[in-house]
Amino acid sequence: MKIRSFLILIVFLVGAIRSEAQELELPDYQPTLVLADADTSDSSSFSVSDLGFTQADLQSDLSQKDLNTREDMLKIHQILGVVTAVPMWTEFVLGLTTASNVSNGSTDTTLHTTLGLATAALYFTTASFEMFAPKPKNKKKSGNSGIHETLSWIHFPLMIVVPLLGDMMNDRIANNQPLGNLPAVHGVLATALVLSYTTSLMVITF
Amino acid sequence: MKRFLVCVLVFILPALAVGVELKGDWVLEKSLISYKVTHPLHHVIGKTTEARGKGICTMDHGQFLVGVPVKSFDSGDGDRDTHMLQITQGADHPLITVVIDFKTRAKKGVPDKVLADLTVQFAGKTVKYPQITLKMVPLEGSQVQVTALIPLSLKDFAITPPSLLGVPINDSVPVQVDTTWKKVTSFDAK
Repeated sequence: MKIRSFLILIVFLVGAIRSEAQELELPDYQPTLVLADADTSDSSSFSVSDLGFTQADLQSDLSQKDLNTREDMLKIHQILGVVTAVPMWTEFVLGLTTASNVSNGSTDTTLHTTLGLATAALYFTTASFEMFAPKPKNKKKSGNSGIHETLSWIHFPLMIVVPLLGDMMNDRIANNQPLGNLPAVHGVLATALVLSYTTSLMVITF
Repeated sequence: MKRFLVCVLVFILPALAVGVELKGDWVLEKSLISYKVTHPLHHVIGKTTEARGKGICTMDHGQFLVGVPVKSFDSGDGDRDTHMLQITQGADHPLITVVIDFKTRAKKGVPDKVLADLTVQFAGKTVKYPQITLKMVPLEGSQVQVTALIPLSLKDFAITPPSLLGVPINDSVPVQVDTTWKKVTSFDAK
């Protein structure tokens, strides 16, 4: 019994060693790599085409020229975005002062109105550089730039509504009509505008 | 009989497990390649799993070709990825290729590590990184895990570092490579 077991063991071991020996007998060949040259026709070499990438795997949605244009436009968008924040905050503080003056009987809102219009003009100029920049078709907004875009859905309409409310108030002040809840609504929406705009500035990275 | 079975387990199973030899034809089975961008205000890691590669090993020599589409890297921010595509000229040079060339003295099995010369084609430039350590771990099913860290520099590829608040990112962008290669009998694609 012991001998038979030993013989079976030997047979197994020899089999295992033989299979390894056969592996070592593989013919030795010298590979030739032709690199990053998809047009190579040498059958004994690798080329990029051997990796099996399709045109769709590699092709960018935008040409390099469009990518460069997009980059230039977004750089202007970034700079103007920071610049716009300065008059926007100034306008916000000035709005608080103007509201206080109006509640004390003043009818002069010229400075607040002028700075408001200048802020709006800067804001929409800033926005246009993003809106008209070439965009990749298949790229989804994600990460901080996704948050940045989501916040624009808040501050963009506010940037239209807040000045319109200000204009309505100016008319009523000029005509000595009661303002009602307009100052409060104008103030709340302006606060939301400034905060959402500032947040959208802070989340953006390179 | 029990003793016999124990003997079989002790002698035969290790012999079967040792199977992977470096010599032969290899294809890239799966990969995770990530770059790390460092800025004083934050870190960014971009990853891709879409690399493809093939390689041939002889008794003492290995040559591999790996390709990675530039646009496949995902840093978790779509705009940043598009920016990366722009600064690396990804539309004109959509593929990063890495040629790995190494010699090994291992006569049997897979060595723990080898020193390889890497030739990287990226952003229209070709840069050689000599003596990069490739760590190798044999896996089941004729597979080998190969990891490496490539000390990539933006200057090497004439890439202008993007900046945030006027401060550019670090020039050093280390690339971590974690790949699993599978031995094949022949290249079907060829």
